[in-house]
Amino acid sequence: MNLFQVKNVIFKTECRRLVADGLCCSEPVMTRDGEGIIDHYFIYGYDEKLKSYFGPTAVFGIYSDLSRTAYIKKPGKEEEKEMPALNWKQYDREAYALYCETFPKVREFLFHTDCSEEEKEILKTYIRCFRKLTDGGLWPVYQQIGGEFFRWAGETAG
Amino acid sequence: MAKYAINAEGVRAMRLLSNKILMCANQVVEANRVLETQILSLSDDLGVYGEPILEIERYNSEVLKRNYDSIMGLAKSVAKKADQIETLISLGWIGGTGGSPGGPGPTGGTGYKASDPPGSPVPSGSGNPSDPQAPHRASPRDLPCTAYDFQSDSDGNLVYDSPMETDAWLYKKQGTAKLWYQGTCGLCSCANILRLAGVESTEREVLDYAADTRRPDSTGALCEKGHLINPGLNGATCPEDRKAILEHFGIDSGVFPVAKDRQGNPSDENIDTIAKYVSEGRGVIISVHADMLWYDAPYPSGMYHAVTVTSVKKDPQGRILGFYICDSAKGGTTYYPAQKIRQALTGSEMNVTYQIIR
Repeated sequence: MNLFQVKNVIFKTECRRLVADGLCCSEPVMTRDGEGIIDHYFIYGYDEKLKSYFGPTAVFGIYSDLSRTAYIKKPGKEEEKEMPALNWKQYDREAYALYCETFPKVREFLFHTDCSEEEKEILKTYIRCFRKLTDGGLWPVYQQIGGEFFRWAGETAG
Repeated sequence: MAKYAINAEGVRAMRLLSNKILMCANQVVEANRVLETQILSLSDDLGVYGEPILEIERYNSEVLKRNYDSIMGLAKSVAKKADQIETLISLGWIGGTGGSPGGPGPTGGTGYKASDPPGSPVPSGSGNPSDPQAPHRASPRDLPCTAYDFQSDSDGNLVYDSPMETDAWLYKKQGTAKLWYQGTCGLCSCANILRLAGVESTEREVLDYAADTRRPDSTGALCEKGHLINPGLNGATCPEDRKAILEHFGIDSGVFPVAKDRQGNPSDENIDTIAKYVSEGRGVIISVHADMLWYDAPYPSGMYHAVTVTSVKKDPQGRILGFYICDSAKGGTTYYPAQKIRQALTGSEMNVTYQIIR
């Protein structure tokens, strides 16, 4: 599945009620369990004047290949934090194109321990583009929801 | 105290009653249509009994049709009575709820109600209260067909209705109802659908209802609320929330999927679909990636935002050129080319009214 197809699955599950207009939805981060790949997301808000993000208001995971919700968690309101927007309105078309291109490929060898050199390069490109496209202010949350993925990626791609 | 007492609470209760009568009547009509469709689909299996059953169903339809007008009349009378009582309250002839202004206030056609707190924003633009587009009705329009047509603009293109004149009556500044609710784009869009349907509606009353009403599946209220860290987190809605809100205020609507191409992107089909619904006089709310509209972002970065589609522009050959969008976060109506809207569509469903509202 490509990136858009994976994201579209959100709207086939009850998680669609979390992606409310007026809020923001993160990029997916992949992990895997016995049932398959889980795409993890979080919902957050933004303040244009303060150039800050706030949240997350919800975290959820979807077995996108199965069109099924894996989990939904709503942190307590007291756990919501302010996060600085470090890359506010900065866009990188090339990084986005590469991110979209490498997303389905990484999915194919996700958590493999014997990746080829080509796969390692793909993973390196994916992570580099992911970091460019996602605001650095949100990085702690991405690490929280997908720590396992980023650890594997770091060990595999270097 | 009596539910329909002659006070502000009674006015509210009467309006609710009027809406419920309308909704029940529409639901019965819809159920009858479904029944007819199902009977027709089973006609082969029903054999010789098929025709007599259809006769009974047709008779029912006729009775329903005759009584539907009476029921509509009743709903309108109730709403009209509520209007009259509210006028008396605003003139100070009858007490409102505790704390509400007892003095005179503007009535009808300006979007301001006596129950709104002082300083509540009136829609900007100096629309003429005698303008047929001025929202002055107690209940939303439900027309057999659209009352508007396409007009030629200065370029010879065709534009449905008159979007920049309509803009005068629409809610253009979200977050003004309650300071701690700033993410109210969807709620303002609901208010704007109601305004397009002729009803004076404010962000405040839509917000009050949404925040105080639980979703049927009990996953929360009909809008985000209770977030303490930033008001931008409060007020957000999903399409199903907006459907429930519109229904409460007397508009029957559906949540319609956004068509996708093989790659999973919103397809061109959506342009035709949105244009069709808008030009039929239906209310349409779409979910867009805000940054793609506001900052010309080349790709979405996940900012979900609800806007109201108020008009469509076609060339003389009928090709759809673009849409007029009322955006409560950006001060009102802007024209966008069709492809920009298509690209900005999120995968989230659009709200489309079943009834023709203008």
